[in-house]
Amino acid sequence: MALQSPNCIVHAMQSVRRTVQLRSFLHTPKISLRSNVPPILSQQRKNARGYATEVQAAPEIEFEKFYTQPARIVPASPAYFSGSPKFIDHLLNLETILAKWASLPTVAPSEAPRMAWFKLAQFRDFVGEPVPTKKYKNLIKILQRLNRIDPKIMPIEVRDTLKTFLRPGNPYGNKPAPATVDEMGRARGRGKRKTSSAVVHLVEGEGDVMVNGKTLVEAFPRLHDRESATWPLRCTSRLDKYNVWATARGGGVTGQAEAITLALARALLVHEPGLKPVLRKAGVITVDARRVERKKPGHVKARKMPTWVKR
Amino acid sequence: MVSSFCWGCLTRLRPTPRAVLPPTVAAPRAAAFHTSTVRYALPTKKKNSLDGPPKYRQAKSARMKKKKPVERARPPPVGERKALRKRIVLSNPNALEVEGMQDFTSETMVDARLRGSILGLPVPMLTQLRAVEAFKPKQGWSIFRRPGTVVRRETLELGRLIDSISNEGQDKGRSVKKIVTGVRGSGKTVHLLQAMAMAFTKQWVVFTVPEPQDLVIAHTGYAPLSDETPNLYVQNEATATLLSRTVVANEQVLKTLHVSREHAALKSSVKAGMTLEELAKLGIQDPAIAWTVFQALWAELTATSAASGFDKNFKPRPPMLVTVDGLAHWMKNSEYRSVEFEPIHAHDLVFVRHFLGLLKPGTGKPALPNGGLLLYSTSASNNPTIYSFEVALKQIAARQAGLNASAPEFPQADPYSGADKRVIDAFDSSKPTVAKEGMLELQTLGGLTRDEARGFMEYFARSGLLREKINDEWVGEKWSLAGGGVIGELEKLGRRLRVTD
Amino acid sequence: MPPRLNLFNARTAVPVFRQTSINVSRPSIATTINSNRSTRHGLKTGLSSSTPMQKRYNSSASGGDNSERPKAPTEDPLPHVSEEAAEISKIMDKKCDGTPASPELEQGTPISEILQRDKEAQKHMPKVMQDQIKSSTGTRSFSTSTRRSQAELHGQGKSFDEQTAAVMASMISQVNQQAEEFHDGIKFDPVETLPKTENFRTRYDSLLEQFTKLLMTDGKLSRAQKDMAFILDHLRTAPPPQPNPKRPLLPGPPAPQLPLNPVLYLTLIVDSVAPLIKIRQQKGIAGGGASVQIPVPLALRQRRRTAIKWIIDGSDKRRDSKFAQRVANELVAVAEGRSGVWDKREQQHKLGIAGRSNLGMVGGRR
Repeated sequence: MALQSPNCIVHAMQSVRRTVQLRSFLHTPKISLRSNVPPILSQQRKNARGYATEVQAAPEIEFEKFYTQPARIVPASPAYFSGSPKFIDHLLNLETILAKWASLPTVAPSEAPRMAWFKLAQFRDFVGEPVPTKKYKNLIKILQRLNRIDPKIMPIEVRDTLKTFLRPGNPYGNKPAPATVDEMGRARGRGKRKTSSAVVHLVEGEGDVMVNGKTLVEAFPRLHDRESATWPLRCTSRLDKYNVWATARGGGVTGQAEAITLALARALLVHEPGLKPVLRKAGVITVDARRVERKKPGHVKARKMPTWVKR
Repeated sequence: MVSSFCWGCLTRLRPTPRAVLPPTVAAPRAAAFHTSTVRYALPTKKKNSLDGPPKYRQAKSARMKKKKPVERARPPPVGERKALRKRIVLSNPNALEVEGMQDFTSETMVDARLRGSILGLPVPMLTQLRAVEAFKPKQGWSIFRRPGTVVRRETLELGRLIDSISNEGQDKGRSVKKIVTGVRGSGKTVHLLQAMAMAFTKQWVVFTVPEPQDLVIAHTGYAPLSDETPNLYVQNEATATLLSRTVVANEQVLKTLHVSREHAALKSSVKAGMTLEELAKLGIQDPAIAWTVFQALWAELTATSAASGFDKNFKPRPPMLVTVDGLAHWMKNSEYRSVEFEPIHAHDLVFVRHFLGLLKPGTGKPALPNGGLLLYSTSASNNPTIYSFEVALKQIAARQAGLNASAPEFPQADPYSGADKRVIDAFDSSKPTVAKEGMLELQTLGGLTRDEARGFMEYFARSGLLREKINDEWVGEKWSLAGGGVIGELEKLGRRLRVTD
Repeated sequence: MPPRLNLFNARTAVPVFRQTSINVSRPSIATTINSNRSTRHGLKTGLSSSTPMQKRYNSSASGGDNSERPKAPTEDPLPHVSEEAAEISKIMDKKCDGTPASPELEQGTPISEILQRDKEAQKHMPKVMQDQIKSSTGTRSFSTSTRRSQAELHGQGKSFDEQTAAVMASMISQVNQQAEEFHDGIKFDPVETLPKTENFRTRYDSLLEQFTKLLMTDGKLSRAQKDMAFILDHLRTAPPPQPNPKRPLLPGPPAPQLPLNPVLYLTLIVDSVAPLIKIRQQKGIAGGGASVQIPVPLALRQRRRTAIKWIIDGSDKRRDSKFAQRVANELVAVAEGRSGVWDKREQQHKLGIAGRSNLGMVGGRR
């Protein structure tokens, strides 16, 4: 029970790690020491008993027998006495592999193949041990580092090891079909910001922008918002090359304008996928996922507590 | 031996009454041998006795003090804020002088080559334009060296129209009636201003109503016109200001014209040989007769020939320009009340009635017999939404397109919407019977074209206000951002500053 | 797709070139990449494991006995990190315009490059380097490496050069091919560079943004922006400032030109009155509970914030009706040296100078 508390595991882990280097040459002497002692003792005992009756020659000592069957069963893994031996074995195994192949060239994280590692709950089922969240995160880190080894020269050993940590099935297999421009030449994009959502239809044209059926000026009296809404076209200087038909629903003016920004950028990417780095740099395809925090019971607002009154 | 002293009794020994014992002193043990000072000392004050129970959740730091209200200087005197708000600045000495900028003259206003460039308003004309309140405070005059306007397609058309009315030819003496509409910032008021500038160059007489709202919000005095017509109301102060505007702006023209007929209502003060300027000044000096004077002046200006006995100094009257900026305010009940405390409809004010009546085709002779231009505009900011007015404008457009009033496509007011019949009737002008009179037209101002927008933006750059390289791409971007070249939005974009470059 | 040079495609061609060039003094990109890796992870593997691992990968097909020979630590030295970066950028066909293309370049420019550019410096360069230039054969009268056989170098030199050229050519063609692919997804003119102000979130000048946000009350940004526009308009229409020689603005364009560039004008005003330090009251240093005034330096943004706060506070005492008008007038007053903000700044600096000696106490404590 005490072992399962995280603190003990940490100690156990450290001690195990320390012993792991020594393990190789500690292993053999251990057994030989232990197995050598009992035969002598039993011999003496037998001698003592047979002393009164008759003298018999002692049977020949079969040394092989002792070697195969030690008196005490020694656990296969030195991590046996830690709270989660299997997990620690996995971890140590990965660390050795990493140390072994650390010098291989790696690719950027974005270019490494995407892998669906076990989720924490799945991993717990897999090893059948309680694994703390943080430990598992560290394990995942090692996995990801190993995964970054250049796929072309990835050693088979690493590949196989990584495979054992994969979720069954292929969660990243079914990708959405890349959006295309439809037969009328329209590209469609959707975007959200705050509580607004917008749909943009983009066609090649000469720079007309309509928002909810109104002109840009009528829809957004504030210049800042107008600029926001057309930013993807503006920063790529394509404002006079496309016509925009946007529908924005919900939220306020700023939210609608910036929802249109995102939708427009996505629609533009359908027309011109090559603009992605520019648009990324312009900050228009970055989703702003902030929303208003909900009010909680017992609070005055989302976080504010009522003033404390003694009576 | 058992002691005779009972332990039980000892424990139950009653304490000696307090009064018997000498007063105990809990004070310093060290000075037990000398207690008098302590005894006579004042009782020590209990700490925190006044503070009450300990407080929680309260800032205990002594530093947390309420922010003192800032000692503000006294508010500015009454009227200063409004004066500041209404102040019109026409020049920015810091801006650069634009080289080669031409002025409004009778030649440049019809020159099609100047389309898309900026024409400056001649400096002597500025006092006239100020007098007729052609400038509005938020039109961005204040950042340029001197006021100028863009020559757009509509400006050139207007220039040609005014030119043809005043010059000899078949169109001489024509009277044209137009209602100018458009989205906010599309340059309606500046279009009126351009018309006034052209009229001044052509020596026309200009009448303007720059703020129709002022007439219906009950800020000027009113009175029934006469006993015969108790339902009509006259606003003498407002009429006096109209007269003073007209006199200051058209001083030169009015000085050359003389009274050409007898005015029954002003028999005592009007003399033969009086100039029209002097006539108008009568109304400014005595607002009580302002409306009568205005009517006399109008009659003089619309006269085609002199009455008998006044032939000596008669000169043909010049054409007239009448502008009203923001018609919608005149299409509803005013804030004035009748004797029965019923709201007075704006059309019952004679001032309003006079100017709206000009839209109707004249009987026998045109509304402006000497020719001229009626230019009434709607406003898109600070204007009431009036359903019947919108229907009326649609009807004008339909009639202009050649639709008959009985045609099924002809826009009609929804019978259940409670449309104001008087408003629709006011614009319901049938075909004019007189040859020289035009039909009531609706002119919708849109955005500038890209070339015109480019000229406008170059004007900013040449004035040193815009530090950017102006190319077609850049202009196209601004044109789109301005909702298709709406000039007011272009102006905002031009003066907007984002970065230092 | 990003215009990224995929070094891994390039590296596939490299092993060929590695085999022969192991002993050549000039290292290739691939060497540097791999050796960087090995040094990075050297801690984990330990010294013994790193070298064989690297050898195994890089010289897998070699089998020449040269590679088996143990190396001295100074042999085949790595170039300076900036040289590598310069090499990479040269391959990527970037122009060297003084702006560092990669973080490695920021560490410095190789001296040889500087000498190439600067004729004046060439005269004063070390004798060794001058000799090197004169003898363009590539051999030197001295040796910087131990155990290098000149004959070997001469023998392989030519073939190596050809090979390098071929490898470089293939790499360049690959890059070009990638560039063509990159332009495929574009219908109109490609966009080359995007300045910082073209970012959606940072579209305003940094000072303008900071000033606007400080004008804002109750989260009404739109109103604050209107106020800011008014202030800038006022700056450009107000008569140019007559600077007070005792309280001059920071060096910039002459005063009559300032109204034509209001943002610069505003920046100059704010930066001129921005204090360099703030005074921190620290208790317990001197002992006895007395607080000690310690001057603390401010960063640029902090300095501007303080100055803007002072200007806005100073404007509260004005009599104009409109908030933006008050601030604008205060700004002009600052530009002309009439404002109380200057006094505040001088006061702050005086306190800071007086408190200089207290800085020793802070240091002593630590």
